[in-house]
Amino acid sequence: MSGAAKLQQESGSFRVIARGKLNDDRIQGALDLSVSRLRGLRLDAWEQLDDLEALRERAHELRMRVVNDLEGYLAQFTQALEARGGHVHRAATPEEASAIIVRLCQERKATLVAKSKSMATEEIGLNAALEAAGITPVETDLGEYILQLDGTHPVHIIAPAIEKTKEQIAAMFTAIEGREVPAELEALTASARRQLRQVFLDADVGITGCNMAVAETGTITLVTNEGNGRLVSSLPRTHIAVMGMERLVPTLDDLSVILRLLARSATGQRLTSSTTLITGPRRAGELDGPEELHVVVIDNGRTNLLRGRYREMLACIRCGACLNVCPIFRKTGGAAYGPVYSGPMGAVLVPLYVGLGNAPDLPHASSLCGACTEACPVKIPLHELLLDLRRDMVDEGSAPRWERWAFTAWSFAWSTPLGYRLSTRLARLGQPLGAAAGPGKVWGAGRALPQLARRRYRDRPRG
Amino acid sequence: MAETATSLVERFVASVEANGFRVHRGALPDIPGAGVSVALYGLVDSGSVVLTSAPAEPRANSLLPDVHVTVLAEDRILLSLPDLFAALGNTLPSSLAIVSGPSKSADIEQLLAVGVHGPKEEHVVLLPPGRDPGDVLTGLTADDFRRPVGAPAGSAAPAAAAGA
Repeated sequence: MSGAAKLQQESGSFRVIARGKLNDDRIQGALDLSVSRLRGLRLDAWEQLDDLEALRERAHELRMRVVNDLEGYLAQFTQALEARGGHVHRAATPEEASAIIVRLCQERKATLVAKSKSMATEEIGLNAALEAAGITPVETDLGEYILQLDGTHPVHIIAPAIEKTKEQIAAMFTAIEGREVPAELEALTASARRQLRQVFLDADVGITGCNMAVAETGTITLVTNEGNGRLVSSLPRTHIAVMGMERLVPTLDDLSVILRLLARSATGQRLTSSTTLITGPRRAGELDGPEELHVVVIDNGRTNLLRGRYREMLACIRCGACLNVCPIFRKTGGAAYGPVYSGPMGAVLVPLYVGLGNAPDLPHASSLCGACTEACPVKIPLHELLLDLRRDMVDEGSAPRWERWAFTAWSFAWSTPLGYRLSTRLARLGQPLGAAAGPGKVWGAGRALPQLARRRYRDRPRG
Repeated sequence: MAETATSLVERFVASVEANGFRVHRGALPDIPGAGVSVALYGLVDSGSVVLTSAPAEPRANSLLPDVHVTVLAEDRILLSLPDLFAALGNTLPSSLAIVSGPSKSADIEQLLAVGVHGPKEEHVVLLPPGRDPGDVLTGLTADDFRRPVGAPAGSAAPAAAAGA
């Protein structure tokens, strides 16, 4: 499978999957609840920051400073981490990244790997690569664990398993534990704790993502509420962190800016329950902690983004705030966007990673209302980037042929008074036909189309 | 200092209690099997305790037991994250954990579940200035563990609302 293929959806599948979700009342209810809840929590938390706008400006500035000198900051980070006994590996493609991690696991004769939630490992298809090598990866974030048992992908980067009911989860846990687990929150939580505690203790290798790294100190940061990030990075003998090459800030003080925004924007918390800063493996005299720390830095299309104005997308801190305000996302959920990234950030990111031709629906999965841009804590102009992507599609000829013909015909017709008059006359005839088939039907489904007046304004008697 | 040390401590207490911590004054609560650590700092703004890895501070103490008790000297309470990083300079331990409440998850039908992985309960023991955390951990009698210092014998430790 090529790197691109892991991120992209099948062509045209956005509409198909989205339509399925739109027709499922339970999923609509769960999505509405989570999205409204998270959105409200963020707005409350933002309100309590008296320096919100200054903080957002500073976050944008410092993230762009990193993006504009990415190799410089990566070199500084590598040097600082290596001075602390850590190892840094670079991978251009998902295959390279997975191969490095599989090799590290094999060299340590690992058979069981504990993972904490990481979009970067989803991006490189790590679990499939580990399984192919006979290594068992277990997701330890509760939502991700449930999805792994179910064999499905996250619907929301912050709330991955919102589509699953207690009854569905109880059935999975009952099968694993070999005894009845009731469909009650407390029993399910206790069951998950039992199952996963054993994984933490038995795992040979712990694999995490990296929410943000600090170039100056060589520190990686893990942000979780369940605390599984700390367990995965503390108990196994080897810790491997997978990090997108842009997840850097220059200094610790800069990290405080991002941390103050990240949890507030994601879940409305001041900080998550557990925020861990890791600077190298365990040191002399320490009784626990990993003996080795490896950081695998992945490119996977990110250098493509360094060209032109899309580089602003690399400032993204993966908080999910844009998902929770997007009128498209709150109806379709994450699955329609493809297996990893979703919502406005995914609609910008995925076409840039995999090429517009491989994700043609995504730049259109937006009403251009701009709510995403308003919600972005690092001030990425998301809806403008989506519009630019649509422009690029036309320029590079990957827009549908009928669309180009339609716009050519329109511009030709309306460039002369005669053409304009003819077109408005034809519109009366054409409207019922257009709504019955083709793109007009697709567009008109679910909308109340305006009815053209029986007689045009210009034809009405005046006086 | 415009802000008195007392009001900073009181704000810290309110802030960590809002995150689900239970706060004790001067002495460890008597909880069998609890993991005990000494916190490096406390943070008012985020309601957090800051734990460090060190030879005397194994990570497992604050990760594996069902209950974690951390001892914090009142004069190590800071206002915010930027203050923490300024205080640390660039000398970081191998692991610095900023803990802001017990393990939480909303992954099952978006209902708040506490204690899915790490400690189900987080306790903070505040020590007034001049008392070394080591005193609390080694020089205490069984009675000291049973009642908060300054509180009449038999009074319960202040209970915090569970969850945020």
